[in-house]
Amino acid sequence: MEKFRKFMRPQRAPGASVEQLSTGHTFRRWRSAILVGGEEKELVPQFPPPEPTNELIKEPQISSVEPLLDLGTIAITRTWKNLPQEIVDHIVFMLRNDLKSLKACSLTCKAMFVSTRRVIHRKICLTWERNWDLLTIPEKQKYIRGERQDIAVRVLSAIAAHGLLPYARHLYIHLNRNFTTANLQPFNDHFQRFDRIQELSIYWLHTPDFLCGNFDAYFQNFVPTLRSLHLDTPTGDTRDILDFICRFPNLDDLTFKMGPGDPRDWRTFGPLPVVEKMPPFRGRLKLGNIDERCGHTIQQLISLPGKRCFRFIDFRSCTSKAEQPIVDACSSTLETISTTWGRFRKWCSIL
Amino acid sequence: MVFYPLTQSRSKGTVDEKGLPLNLVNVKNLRSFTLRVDFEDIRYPYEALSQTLHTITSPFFSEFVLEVGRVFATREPTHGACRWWGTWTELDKMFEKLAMERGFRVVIRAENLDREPNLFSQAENRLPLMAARKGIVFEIGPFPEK
Repeated sequence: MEKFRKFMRPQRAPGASVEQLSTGHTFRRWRSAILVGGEEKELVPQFPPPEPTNELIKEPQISSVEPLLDLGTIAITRTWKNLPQEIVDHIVFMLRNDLKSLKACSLTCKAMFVSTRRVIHRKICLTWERNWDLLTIPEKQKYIRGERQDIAVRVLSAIAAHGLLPYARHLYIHLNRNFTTANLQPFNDHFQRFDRIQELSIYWLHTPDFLCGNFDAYFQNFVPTLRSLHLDTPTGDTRDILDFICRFPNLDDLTFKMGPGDPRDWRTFGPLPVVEKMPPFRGRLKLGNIDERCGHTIQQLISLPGKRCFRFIDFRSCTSKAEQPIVDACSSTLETISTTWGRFRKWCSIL
Repeated sequence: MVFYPLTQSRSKGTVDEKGLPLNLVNVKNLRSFTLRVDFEDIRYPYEALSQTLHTITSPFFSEFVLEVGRVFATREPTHGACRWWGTWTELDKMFEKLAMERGFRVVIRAENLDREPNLFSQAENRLPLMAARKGIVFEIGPFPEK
């Protein structure tokens, strides 16, 4: 048994350094990065050549087992803070879906703070709950009375005051029915600073408000970079809604959900908008609560001449008569179809 | 076909008894088809689902995903409802044929199994040929946003 124990111990040749036992360059590179005197000597294995002998091969005599790494004697002066910022950014980006870890990382040092800040505030939420929390009691009383022009989008000022606007890539707007031009006008300077938004989600967009000259005044800064547009319960004429969608020429993904109530705003069906450049629509189409008539209109939109080809379609609580024409319109490029049986409240939260 | 009385249901689902099942004959590049069902409605879409899947002619079709979700909060739980999701023999044969041709797989995904802890074993009973080929993948967790 004792012989077996000795045999199972880590073995190394007498006089051989730790580096000589490491199998690759990884250990040496790591050591030179963190230890004192990062200069690394070229380590050449110096095992003596085996001498020919006629004696029987003996088991190696191990008098004492040395630890591979003596942490007690290592003085660490270089840390991962010496890593280039790009590498820190890359590491932090891998945690992009773990907000708790990102917040913890942001408290460690300046390098991580800078890096995590971009990721944490990648998605900016303009919600009425956050806005409500920022209001004073007199302002809340005004809000309840319906005098909301200067306070309905106050949250935008708070976000701007913290310098978070340049980090935003995904903007989520859920201000109920307060997202109007009149309410947004006092804060439009801040709104115009969203110039790198790639994904825009809006709950209850009254599209006629933001068309004609108002589109350039409020949404022109989104045009060059916007790739995904999610509209939950938009209101207005069909033509207006489609007109709004088609003003973003780089759209790949489109989410479109009708409200749970009656689709009265869709009763008016005007002709499809005429735009210079139709969006490519090369990504994902998510539709919720779409009935036959709405489906037909969307089918017309994606059937217009040009290169428009959704690869993924996700139907949520749509009628089969609405789905079929859309599937047919995208049949040449469609790769994945998701659909539902029955109606699911949970799955209807489409944004 | 029996249609389950869905509380708070305003519109019928995709493969309802009145509407026609999806016709996917023209979708030549289809790779994956996903159906979301309630725990208690698994048996009902079988007929329409079968018709839909039989219209698929895409040579790339290699995945069928069944996402099983929770029932409405207002509905009283009916434990063991999944026992009645019927026989899927015909689809099982079809899946096995596809599995032999192109490595087809069936993914059964549930957010959690609190309501139906035997869901996966029942799925293997319903699809014995696919189970024998190890062509069924079970996943638990939040539904991915594809």
